[in-house]
Amino acid sequence: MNVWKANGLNSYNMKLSCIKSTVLIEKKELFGLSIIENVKLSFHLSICSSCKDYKRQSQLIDAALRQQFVTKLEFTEAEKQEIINKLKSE
Amino acid sequence: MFKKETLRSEDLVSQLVSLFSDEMLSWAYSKTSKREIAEDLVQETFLAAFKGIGRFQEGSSYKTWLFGILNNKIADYHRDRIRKGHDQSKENHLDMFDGKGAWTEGSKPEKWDYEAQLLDDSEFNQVLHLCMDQLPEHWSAALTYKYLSDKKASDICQELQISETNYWQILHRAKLKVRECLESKWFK
Repeated sequence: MNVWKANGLNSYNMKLSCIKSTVLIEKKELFGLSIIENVKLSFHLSICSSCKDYKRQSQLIDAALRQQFVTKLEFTEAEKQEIINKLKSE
Repeated sequence: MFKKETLRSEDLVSQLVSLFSDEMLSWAYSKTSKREIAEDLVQETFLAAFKGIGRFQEGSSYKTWLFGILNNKIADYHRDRIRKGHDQSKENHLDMFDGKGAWTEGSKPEKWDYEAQLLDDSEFNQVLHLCMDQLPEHWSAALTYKYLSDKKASDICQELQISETNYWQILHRAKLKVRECLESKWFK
């Protein structure tokens, strides 16, 4: 199935599939949507709790990637020494 | 302040490595989700830094200088991955949807508990890295690259010379996969 063509946005049908609605959720975040796309998406989200959950979780993933959460890692002393040696030999 | 000879002195090299290498490693890892890559990037950063020590501005901080170089290397790394990537199996995420484009039974997103606290949870962030690491390289690169700077998506596409459609299709598939991975690894 070709998702990008199936359930085309030019159709007058208001119904949006779940896959297409997840596409629009991402597209909206990146580039914004046309008025028709926006209406269709809002309508779908008003009746589909799975896609509503997807939207919130997608935003949470965005926030997690955007935030500067740093897990502390360390080089071993030997690795540090190796870097130092390499730098000195350059 | 320092003469070039002094800056290259063994003392300074050792000092900067022992002062900043761990912090740089942690930072690079948080932006690549791969320890090996992060180690390489830190090493390359030190090499580039000492080669270009002549450009170091007197009075500025070594830390800012090193992290500036590191951030460029991280961005280069992701750009490279995105440019090299091409999708062989375009439709391979579709297994979470049926033929009509509806969520299949086991794939429906479920409510996540304690959503608000997740961002500060280090274990959750670890699982996120794990899930990012399971994506095809150019997907995770595209997803990470977006948040390295405040650049607009349209500018990123221009910079990477990929079409907007191609870009949001990659990000859409990447998101679906990461979400699914988080749900199975964290919430179940």
